[in-house]
Amino acid sequence: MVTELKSWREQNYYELLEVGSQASDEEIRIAYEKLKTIYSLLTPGITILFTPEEVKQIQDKMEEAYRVLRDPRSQREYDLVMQGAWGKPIAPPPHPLAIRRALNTQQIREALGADEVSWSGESLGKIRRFLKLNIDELALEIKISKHHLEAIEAEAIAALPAPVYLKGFLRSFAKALGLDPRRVSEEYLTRISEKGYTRE
Amino acid sequence: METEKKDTEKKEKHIWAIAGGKGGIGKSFVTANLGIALCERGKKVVVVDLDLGGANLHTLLGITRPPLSLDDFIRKGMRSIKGILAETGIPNLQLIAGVQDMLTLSNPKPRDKQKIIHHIASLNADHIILDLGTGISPHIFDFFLISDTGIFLITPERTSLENAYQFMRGVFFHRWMTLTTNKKVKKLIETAMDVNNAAGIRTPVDLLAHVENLDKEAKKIFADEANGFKPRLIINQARNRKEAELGFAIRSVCRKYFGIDLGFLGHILYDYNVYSSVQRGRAFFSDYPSSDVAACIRDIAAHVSDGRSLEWSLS
Repeated sequence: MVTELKSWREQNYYELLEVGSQASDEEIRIAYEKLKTIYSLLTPGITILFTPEEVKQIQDKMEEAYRVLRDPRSQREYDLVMQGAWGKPIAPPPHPLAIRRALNTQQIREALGADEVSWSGESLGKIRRFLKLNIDELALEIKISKHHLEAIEAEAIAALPAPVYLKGFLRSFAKALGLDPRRVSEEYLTRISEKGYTRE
Repeated sequence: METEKKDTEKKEKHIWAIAGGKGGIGKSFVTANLGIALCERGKKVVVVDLDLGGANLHTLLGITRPPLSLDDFIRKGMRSIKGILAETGIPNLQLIAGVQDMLTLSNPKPRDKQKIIHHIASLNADHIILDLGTGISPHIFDFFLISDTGIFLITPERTSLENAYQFMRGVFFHRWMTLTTNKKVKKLIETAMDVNNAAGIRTPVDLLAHVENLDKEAKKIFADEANGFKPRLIINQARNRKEAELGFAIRSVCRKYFGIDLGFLGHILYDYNVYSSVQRGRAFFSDYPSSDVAACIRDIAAHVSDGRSLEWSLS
């Protein structure tokens, strides 16, 4: 629940989902479902104050919040980060997964064994292995099936999910690896559409 | 005076202000009938008509205009507001009538306003409900701010929403203005009051960030004050469930945009009989005690009475 005057940009995941920090899984789920509907309807209640771009950003933030809070493991990690920030007037921490494994350019180059960084199934796989992340574990953590993650890494066009899902999967995957989600998904999609994946 | 004060201190009294900004959205209707519904629950209630220009709360209660009103209280320099308390024919419900024709009081002098505010706070009741007038102006903000809890009344129309949001924004700025003597900060707030200000200050949160650069102490005072601001919301004239559920969207937007925790008390369905009972000069509750509208208002009264709000579903 909101307890101090700050906008959605500064709110933590619990505040974004409008639940207390002690909320049960069920309370979090219900709030998320309701909010998802509310922000998809674009009633005047919303559009008077928020631009369409802001609504999109709010939706993304809420998705991110739910992804973290729905999973007991990432939720616990997030709570620990939050407790560390207790009482300090700072912006909410970035994605907890990113905190654990944020990579700088140097590390990325090292992991890829190349100076030129471009995102493909192969380079994502390299980063994952560099972080010693098991594909089963990752699948569980970001709630994307192992089958899909393998297809992404192998660039197995026929086994990839529909474009509407793929973009989100790529972003989650990139985030979990501490990479720039937008850049990863754009470069990856451009690359595989040249290989025959239909983006429409 | 002394005994009057003692009386009120003994009681757990709560002052509510019904606000909305826009006219014709049912502020007086809700004030009157919420008052009646609270009386049904065994509460002692005073409703106060603060529409200082076109007061007609008495009509919504189904009575003729009481002989004495706030106008007499101010003009005749009456010592106690008890002198103008009028009975309504409904047990435990009393009315302070507003100013009907005296346009001079529609923008009261600070001293008169202070007197009204001071005396309202001394009234003896479980619930005092203030029917604020229409508009988004400093004196309406002042009356809004004497309440323990402000209730925003919003109808599903876009214009009603726009005015309510303007009201919320304005009430922050107005309150903060009174909390600082720093001229630069005051000037900044003045700038921010213009919706299209060049500084790009859209929200109270934006303003707070700017104030911090000027005066850290003022920023802290403003933030503390804002944290205690927990208004409520009622959706009036909902024609269907979807319109009633607009309340959840407004609540969420207020949390995300303003950072304020707006509790949703409930909705009141649209009913033509409301209009016809007003036309007949009758109290709606007396004429339609078993209507859906009355049931909606009873649900809201229950929430008001035990200090709760809705979670994620309509009652």
